[in-house]
Amino acid sequence: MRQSTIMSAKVAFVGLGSLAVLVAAAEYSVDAGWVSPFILAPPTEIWSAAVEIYKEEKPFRALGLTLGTTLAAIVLAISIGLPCGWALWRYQTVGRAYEGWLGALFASPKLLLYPLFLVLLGRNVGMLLIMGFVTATIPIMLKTREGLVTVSPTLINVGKAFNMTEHQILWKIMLPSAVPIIFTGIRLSMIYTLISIVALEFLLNFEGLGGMVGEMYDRYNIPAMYAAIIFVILMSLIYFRIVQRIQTWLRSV
Amino acid sequence: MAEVSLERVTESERAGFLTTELRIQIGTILGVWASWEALAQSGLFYRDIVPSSLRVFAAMWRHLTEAEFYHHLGVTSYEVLVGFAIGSIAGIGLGILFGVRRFLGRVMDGYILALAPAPKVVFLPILMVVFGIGVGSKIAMAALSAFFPVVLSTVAGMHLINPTLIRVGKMFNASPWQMVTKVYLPSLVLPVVTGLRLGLGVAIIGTLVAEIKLAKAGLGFLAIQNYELFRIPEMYSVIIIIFALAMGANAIMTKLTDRLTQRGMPKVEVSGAA
Repeated sequence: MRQSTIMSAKVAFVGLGSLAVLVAAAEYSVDAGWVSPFILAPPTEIWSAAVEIYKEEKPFRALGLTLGTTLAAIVLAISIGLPCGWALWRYQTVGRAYEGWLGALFASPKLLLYPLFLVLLGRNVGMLLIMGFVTATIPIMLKTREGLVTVSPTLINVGKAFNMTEHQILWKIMLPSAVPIIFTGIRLSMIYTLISIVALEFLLNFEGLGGMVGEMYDRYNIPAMYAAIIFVILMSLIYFRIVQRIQTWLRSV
Repeated sequence: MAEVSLERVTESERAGFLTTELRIQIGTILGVWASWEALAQSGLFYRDIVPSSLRVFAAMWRHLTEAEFYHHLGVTSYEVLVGFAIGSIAGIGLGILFGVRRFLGRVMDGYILALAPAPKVVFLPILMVVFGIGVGSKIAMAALSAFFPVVLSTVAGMHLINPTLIRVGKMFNASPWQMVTKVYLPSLVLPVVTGLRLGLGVAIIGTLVAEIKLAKAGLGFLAIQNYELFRIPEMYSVIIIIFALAMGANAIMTKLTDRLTQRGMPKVEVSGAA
């Protein structure tokens, strides 16, 4: 136990130390004129640009917009994906007919369909929401079906032995035991949806986190561009950590 | 995935040609197509936003018989393949290194796991500043996208190698290069191929997204150019071709992984790789 704590401390020390060395090297290489300031901004300038952005660009408003769109897409995806996943399980032939397609769609680069959605829906939050929904709903449908399919038959037989109705078996037995797998689907959709929405905002120079990065690039403000990128990476990191935490917490409940 | 489709093939063979599943699938395709045509004819949308599928097919035929299209296809394929090669060689190499040097691996683990699920597209401005808006930044984007799934699955595979094999190699005084080629790589085939499959997928997306954002050539550029000129049937046709190519590449890589899994190679789960 003690040894592993020492080891973790060592890892953290060396990890943060190398980061500090890297930051110092970046600062020095620009100062010394080895790297053009139009390519790499010195970390001190990135920091002052970050302060500037914080005062003027309202990065947390951008974060709120991106998160709001992502979560709205997920809520929409859950409210439609869950019943669809149930239907794919309930009507087995339909489920078998569509499962392969849904799997292929899940792996497919849906982001590349965005010009199509742009033409159909225009450049607005609604379009982002719909594309986020398309990304989010497929893993939820697939995992809901998978969760229901893999419920142990013994549990269902117990329900039948107690003369439970089909409705009761679904709500009292099947859904609770499918929950861990369904949450895996929701976690996947939370990850992929945030990525797609940030990417779309960036591509469209829309608002939100992705739009903020695109905006700084368009202004060719190199320190601000780095600051915005670091901010987006940090925020997505925190988001993924929270998603992970929620799932571990739900597992332990 | 392929397991499911295999199952379906054998089932359809047993039940004759048209199983209910197949009928549902054909019905769905026809239904979607008919509703598309109905929308195209209805005039509900502004001109051309929902073009008749015939016009999309005509545009596709024009593309496929034009030399210009193959120029763009060539640029995109070049960017994807070179970037994918750079990203995966770096991923496999560093993955093996992090597996052998466990301390270094643990130090880097935090950074790699932190960056792996982050939306890579936000790095594009840096890549465009460093490599310009031409082919260079697209190759870099493909390499960066491919790197993370490959390095993650290689490290995961390194942890699964039977320690006895490593001890045997060391006992025979194998040189580091011999250890890599005779011990590590043969045990890493399946995790590496799994990583490569995910890596190729995200490399294709990364390249096309970069082309859509800002480029001078490539399929992504062609799609967005058609959009800007409001040549909608042409735009649809390019997107359909891109989508088909990307899914085809993924299907080939999935086949490859499935074949290896059937040969009894251990399976590795890689998460958060996009």
